[in-house]
Amino acid sequence: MRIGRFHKKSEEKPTTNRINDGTLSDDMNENVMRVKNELGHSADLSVRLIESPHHKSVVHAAVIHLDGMADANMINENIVNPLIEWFKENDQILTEMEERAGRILTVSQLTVKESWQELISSVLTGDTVVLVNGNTKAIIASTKSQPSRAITEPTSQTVIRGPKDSFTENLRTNTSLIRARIQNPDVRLVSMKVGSVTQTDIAIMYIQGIADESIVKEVKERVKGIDIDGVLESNYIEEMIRDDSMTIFPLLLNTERPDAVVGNLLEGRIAIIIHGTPFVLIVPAVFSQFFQSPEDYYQNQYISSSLRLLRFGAFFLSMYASSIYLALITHHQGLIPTTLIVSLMAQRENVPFPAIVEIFVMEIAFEILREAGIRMPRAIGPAVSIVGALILGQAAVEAGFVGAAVVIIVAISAISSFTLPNTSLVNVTRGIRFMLLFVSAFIGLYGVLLFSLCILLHMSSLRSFGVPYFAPIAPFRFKEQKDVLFRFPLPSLFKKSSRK
Amino acid sequence: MKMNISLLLSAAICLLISGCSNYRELNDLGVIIAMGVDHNEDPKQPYRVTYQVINPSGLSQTNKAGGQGLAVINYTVTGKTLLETLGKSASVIPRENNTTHLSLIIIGEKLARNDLDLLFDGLDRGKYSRVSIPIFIARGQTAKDVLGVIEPLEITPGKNIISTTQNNQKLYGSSSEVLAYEVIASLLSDGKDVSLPGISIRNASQIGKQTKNLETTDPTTIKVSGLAVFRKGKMVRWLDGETARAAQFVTSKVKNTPVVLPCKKGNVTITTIGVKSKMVTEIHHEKPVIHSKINVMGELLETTCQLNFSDPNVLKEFEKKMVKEIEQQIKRTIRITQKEKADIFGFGDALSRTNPAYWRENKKNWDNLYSDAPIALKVNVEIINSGLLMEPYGTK
Repeated sequence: MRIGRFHKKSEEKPTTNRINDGTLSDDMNENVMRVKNELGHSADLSVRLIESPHHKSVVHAAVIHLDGMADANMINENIVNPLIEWFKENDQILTEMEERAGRILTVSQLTVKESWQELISSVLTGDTVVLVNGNTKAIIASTKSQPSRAITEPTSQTVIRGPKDSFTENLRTNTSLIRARIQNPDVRLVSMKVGSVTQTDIAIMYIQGIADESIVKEVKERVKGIDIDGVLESNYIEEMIRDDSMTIFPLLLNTERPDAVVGNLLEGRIAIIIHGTPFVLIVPAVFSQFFQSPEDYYQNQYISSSLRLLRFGAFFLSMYASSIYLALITHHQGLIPTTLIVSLMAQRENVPFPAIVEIFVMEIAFEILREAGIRMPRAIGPAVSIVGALILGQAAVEAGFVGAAVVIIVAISAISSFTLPNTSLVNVTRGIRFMLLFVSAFIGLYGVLLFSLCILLHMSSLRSFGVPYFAPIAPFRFKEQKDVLFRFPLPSLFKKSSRK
Repeated sequence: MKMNISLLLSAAICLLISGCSNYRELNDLGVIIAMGVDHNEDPKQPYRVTYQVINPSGLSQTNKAGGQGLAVINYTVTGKTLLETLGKSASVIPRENNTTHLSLIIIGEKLARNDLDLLFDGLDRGKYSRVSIPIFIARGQTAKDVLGVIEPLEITPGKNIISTTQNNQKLYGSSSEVLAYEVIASLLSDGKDVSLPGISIRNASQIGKQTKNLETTDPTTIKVSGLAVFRKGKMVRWLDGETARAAQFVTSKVKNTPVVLPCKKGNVTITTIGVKSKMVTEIHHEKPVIHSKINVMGELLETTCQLNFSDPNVLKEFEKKMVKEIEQQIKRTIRITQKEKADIFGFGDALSRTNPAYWRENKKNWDNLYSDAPIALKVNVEIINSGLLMEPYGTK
């Protein structure tokens, strides 16, 4: 909720209105005052006035930047210092800005701007503005240097063999991590700003000639069409541009691994990199991609194929284990082998609750543990795991709250969800698991089947940027099966993705 | 949006109206694992049925709290029909009875001698149990008594009966498991009569029904004994030991079984490792001839005679002896069944396949034709080795 919404409008007029009008005045002092006013005399606004060494109290130039957003050393050495030197040597007013500035200022990027809007936005992004007396133009030197975290190992998508770097919150670092991996002139990077207040930088990256032009166009249009105040994480963009806003399934892939992004770019997908988050979005995403781990390509094809099958199995186990168990023991006792039903009956003999309550309580207990595990301070970690393992597992059974079989079922469905390489899909299994549980409590296996059918229908209706969610299985494309259920040997995979 | 709401509504209706109609908690179920059907003296209530219900707390190893006791409890109910007794059982069984795990049916000998014909209709017609469960005859006893024995080795008496029969079929072969649908098929067929394995109680005593039975090394147990031969749905006689086994040779239901042959001063035991038989009934001069080809493979595994088995002629000699022995046993068994006019092997079915025209004409008269039919056997025995020794120990 926006807190200010119910209070009266701020006394200052919104700055945006004033920026729009007018160009720079030829009186530098006036311009400097105006910059200060625009930014509300912000404490981190640094203005360095350069006086003439020959005439007292004559100010020749002003160097303006936001402290912390720009590289102070660079400004000292490459802007302030050369200017002072120049004024020392030349007792005159600096004219013919465009030509001379290039000779004086030793900065890699220099532009000359005339409008207020551009001037203010350059200051805000960390560039340095040089105003010179008697000029209606501003020189803008690129001195961006924002605080950023070092590149570390990925925390959510770890591998044993494979690159160990991950994206950071800095857009430039991220694009450079990708660029460093594909040194190809066809890599295209389109930059945009999203968020009417935050003006967050967003980069769309793809490889010209491999990526589908129409999808590239579609992505650009959708990103441009986003109307939102601020973008703090890639999910802001994901929710704004996905095809179906109500679905539980992820329609965009996210990753914090540069190698995964490069792999996807090579397959013709498009990456959306957002400043401020290490998670990069990849479109279009199909269902089978959520089962692919980058490590699949870094180890033997037989191993990775069987591991991928294992993940598919674990995905179903994670959704269905508890509901099928419930359906069997409450509706279809005849389907359980006699010896097993006898021991299940013995376990349930002293449990006071209906089976659905028993399973539901355990599932909720696990969800609580899991949520607590994410939120709690690191130092309390061991305490929580002891409580979780002992109290909820063993003690609950011994106290007669739940049967031992239920603990096993809940544990297996929880553990198997963590085999999935992508957390978006893990959350899907959590949601569907609970829905299935209810359906199976009411109408048994028939309900489980019916619900699965509904889910399947829903999934086959989904599209990710026009690509069917189940592609290439439905619609079935024989030639693209090499990297779906099994990972074929790399030579045969590369033949597929070679340039057209 | 309208679509979504209507979908949601129909889902809600489907779920809520169903109202857990089939929802049963495991601890509200009385799982019937075995059923014994006996003849009842009261003509108004001709059936006395014993239901063996699992007692979960008696079976659990980990459960410390709650009820204790034996693994199973027997409830006996009388009634006009089997299904009526099942309904009546609700007045003695405290939990909702569930027959989905019914794993065997025992029929008292007296009832079997009366009539078996339509006994299985309820089982076949009903929805809540299978027809792939074995049927047994309680020999000289009531099914109630047989089900009452507390078994020391297996968890439940029912399991014990099944595993003993299977074990017997595998390693001796005097009887084999016969499933309910096979019985039904035989009852329906004109060319085959029913034969069912018998079970009786060994070491019978009152202790057999008590936990004390578990505390002795010589407990009362159940034993597989003989093969009950039926004629048109009524039991007529028992076959025992080698006579019963010979019947399994003809239907090749036996696999490993020891055949003992005499030699000069002792015996030689040949264990079969594979029996394959083929029943063909042929017509000779307008009369059926029972024809059976049996191939037996065996190993010579024990001897008390001084013989040199490295000599192939010695083995050949025993092959011949075994052919004779098996032929003799089978002929004896077939003769007995011919006398009883009970074609338990299905020679009639074989005839219906080879000579359908003849069969259609004569099937009503098959029991007479069967009892007069000559027997032509063709047994072939192959002894493939004589174990790990060539000659026996040279005794002083």
